Amino acid sequence: MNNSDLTLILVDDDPAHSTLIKRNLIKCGLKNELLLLNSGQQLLDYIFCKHQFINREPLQKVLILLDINMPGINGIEILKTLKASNLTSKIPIFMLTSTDEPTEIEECFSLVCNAYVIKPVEHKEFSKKMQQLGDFIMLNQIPQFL
Amino acid sequence: MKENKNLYWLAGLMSIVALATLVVVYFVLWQTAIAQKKADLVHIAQSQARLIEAIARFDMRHNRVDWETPIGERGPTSLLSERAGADTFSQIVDAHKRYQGFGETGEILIAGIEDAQILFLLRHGSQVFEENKSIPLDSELAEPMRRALSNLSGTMIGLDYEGSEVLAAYEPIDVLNLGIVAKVNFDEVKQPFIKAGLITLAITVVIILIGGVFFRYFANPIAQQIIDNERKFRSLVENISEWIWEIDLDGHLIYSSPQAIKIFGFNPTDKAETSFYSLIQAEDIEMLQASFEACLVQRKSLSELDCIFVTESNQLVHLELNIDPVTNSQGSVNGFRGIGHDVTERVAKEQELKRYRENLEHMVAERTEELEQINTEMRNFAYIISHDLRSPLVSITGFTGELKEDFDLISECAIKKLVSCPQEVKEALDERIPESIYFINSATEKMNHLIHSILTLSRAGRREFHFEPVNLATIVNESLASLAYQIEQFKVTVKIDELPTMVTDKLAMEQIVGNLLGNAVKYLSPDRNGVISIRAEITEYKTTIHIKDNGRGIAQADLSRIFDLFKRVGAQDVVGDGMGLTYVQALVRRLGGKINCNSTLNEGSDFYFSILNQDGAQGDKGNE
Repeated sequence: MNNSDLTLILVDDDPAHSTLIKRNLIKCGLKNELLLLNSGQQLLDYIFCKHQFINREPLQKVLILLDINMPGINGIEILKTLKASNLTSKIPIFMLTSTDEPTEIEECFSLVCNAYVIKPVEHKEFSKKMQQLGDFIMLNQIPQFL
Repeated sequence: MKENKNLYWLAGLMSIVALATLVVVYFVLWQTAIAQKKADLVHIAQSQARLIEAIARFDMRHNRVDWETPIGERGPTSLLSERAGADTFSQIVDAHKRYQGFGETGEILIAGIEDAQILFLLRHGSQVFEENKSIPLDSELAEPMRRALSNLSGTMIGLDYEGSEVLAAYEPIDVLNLGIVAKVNFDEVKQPFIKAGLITLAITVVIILIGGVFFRYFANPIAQQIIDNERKFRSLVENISEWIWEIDLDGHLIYSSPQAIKIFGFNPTDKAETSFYSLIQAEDIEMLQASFEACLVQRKSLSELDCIFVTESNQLVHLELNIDPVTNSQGSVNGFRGIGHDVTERVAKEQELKRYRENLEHMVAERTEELEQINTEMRNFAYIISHDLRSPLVSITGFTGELKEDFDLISECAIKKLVSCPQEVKEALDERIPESIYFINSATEKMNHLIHSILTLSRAGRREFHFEPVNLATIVNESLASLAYQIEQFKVTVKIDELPTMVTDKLAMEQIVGNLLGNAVKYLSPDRNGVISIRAEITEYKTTIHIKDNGRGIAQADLSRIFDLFKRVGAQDVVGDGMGLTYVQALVRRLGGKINCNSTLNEGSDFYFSILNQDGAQGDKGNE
C-alpha cells in the first residue's frame, strides 16, 4: 500500500454525518489524513487555494468523499465543476449520500464520479459499509494530484 | 297591368290576321272568278267570230262570189263582199233571234266601221235584241269594240257604248271586217262577291267577337296568374334579407334588389351604368373577376364567396356571394346572377369568438402550465421531504449505534470492576438503557420504513413511462407464477378469461396487476378455498380489468379509505405496509385511468381498474 500520502476530504453539511463517517473510518483502521469540510464552496476554495485556504499545504494525492444534498453548491454541481476542469478531473470522487434515487445515481456516473456509496440508515450496516469503503479506498491506486 | 295590355294587343293582332287572311282569300277567289268569267267571254266571242267567219267564207265561195270569173274581170270586190257580208249577217241575226242571251246582263255585240262611226249591227242580250245603232269612233265609249275593230283580241274592263262598266272579250271577225264583243256588266260580276264578302265579313267579325270573349275568358286567369307570380316573386326578391343582383358580362348591373339600399345606402341601379366592381373593395376585385371567369368557363354556380363591399359612406361590409351564370336561349352565357348575403355581423362575431377562443386557449395553456408546475412541485416535495428526513435519521441511528457500542464497553467494565455499584445503576445498566436504545432503534426503523414508502410512491410519479403493446395475459401469468407457493398453500382456484393486449407501460402494469393479485391471495379467507377470477371488459373507449376474490372482503365503512397512504383496514393479522393500494392507484392515475373496488365483508372483493384505449401513447407520459 502506498496510499499513506493520500488525503481524504469528506464534504458533508451535516457535522453529525461527518463525525459518524470519520469515527467509523478511523475505527476500521484508516490512518490517512482526513479533512472535514462542511460545504461545496469550502471544497472548491480548498482545492483551488482560495480565501481561507490560500496558504494550504500542497497535496500529494487526494480523494473526495462527497455528499449530494447540501445547501449552496450541491454535490452534483461540485462533481460537474471538478470533472470539467483539466486541473481537477483526475481527482477520484466518491459520492457518499443518503439518496438512492436512480436518476441521481445515473447522473453522477454520467458526470464520471468514481464511486457511489449510500449511507445506510441502520447502524450496523453503516459500520459495515464504512469498513468496506475504507478497504476499497486502500485498494485503489490513486494518481498524484500535482 | 302591362301583361293585360299585351294580351289585348295579342287578341287584336290575331283579329287583324284573320281579316287579312279573309281579304287575301277573297282576293284570290275574286281573281279566279274574274279569270273564269273572262275565259267564258273569250270563248263566246271567239267561237262566235270563228263561226261567223266560217259562214262568211262559205257564202263568199258558194253563193255570192263568182269564183269562175278571172280576178281582173270581176266587178268591184267591195260590192261583192258587201253583198256576201249582208247575206252572212242576215243568217247570223237570224240565228241569234232563235236563242236567249247569256246571263242577266250578258250581251253579244257585232259592229263594223262606217263613215267614222262604229255601227253596231247586232246587240243581243237576255232583255234586248237590237240592230243598227252607231256611235262615233273617237268616243270614249265602246272601247272593247274599238279594240276588236282595230283587229285586236283580248279581254278588258271598260265602258260600253251605253257608258256602263263592263267586263268584255273582244275579237275581230276577219272576213267581214267586223268586230265582236261578248260582255257582261261588271256590276253583275261584282255583285255576288260583294254580297258574299259582306256576309263573310259579318260572320268573321262575329266569330272574332266570340273568340275575343272566349280569349278573355281563358286568357284572363292566365294573365292573372302571371301577374300574381310576378308579384309574388317580386315581393320575395324585394323582401328577403339577401341582396339579389344581375350583371352582364362587362360587369354592368342590370338588376339590383332594393335590399341594396339597406346594405350600401343606395341602390346601384338607380344610378346610370353602375359597374358591379365599383361596389367592391379594390383588393377583392381580382379575386372576384377570377371567380366570374371560372363560373363562365365551367358553367357552374359558385357559392359562399366571401367578398368585401364598400358602402356609400365608405364602410366595409362582408357579403357572401352565390353566383350563377345566366344563359340565353342559344346556351351561351351572357351574364351572371346571384345573391349577396350580408355576413358582416357574423364575421365580426366570428372574429370576436376567435379572439375569445385564443384567449381561452392561452388561459388554459397558462393554467395547465401552472398545474403541471404544481404537480411537479408536489412530487419533488415528497422526494425532498423523504430525503431530508432520511439524513437526520442516519445521524440518530448512527449515534444510537455509537452510544450502544460505548455503553456496551462501559457496562462490561462496570460488571467486571464495579461489582458493588448501587442497585439503581445496575438497573439502568441492565435494563433501562438497553430498553431505551431498543425503542429508539425500533422507532427510527419504522420511520425509515415510512420514508422509504413515501419515496417509492413519489418515484411512481417520477418514472418515465414507455408505452408499448403489452399482453395482459402474460403479465397475469407471470404474477401468478411468483405467487405459486401461496396459491398452492391456500388451494386457490384461479380463473382467467380472455385478456387483451393493451398499449401501456409494461412495468407499471406489472406492478398494478402484481399488487392486486398479491392482495387477492394475501387476504383470502382462511375459512374456505380461494377462488380468484381475472377478466376484462372492453368497450369502445376503455378497457376495464377485474380482479375478483372470495376472500375476507372489506367493510362498507372502510371502503373509502383503502387507497389512502398507510391506511390499513380490517383485521391486522397479515403483514403489510399500507402502501400497496396507494401505489397502485398512483400508477393507474398516471396511466390516465381509475381504480375502484366493490366489496362485501366476508364474501370477497372485486378490484377493477379501467384505462382508456389508445392507439399510441396514453395518460401522463411522466417526463419531467
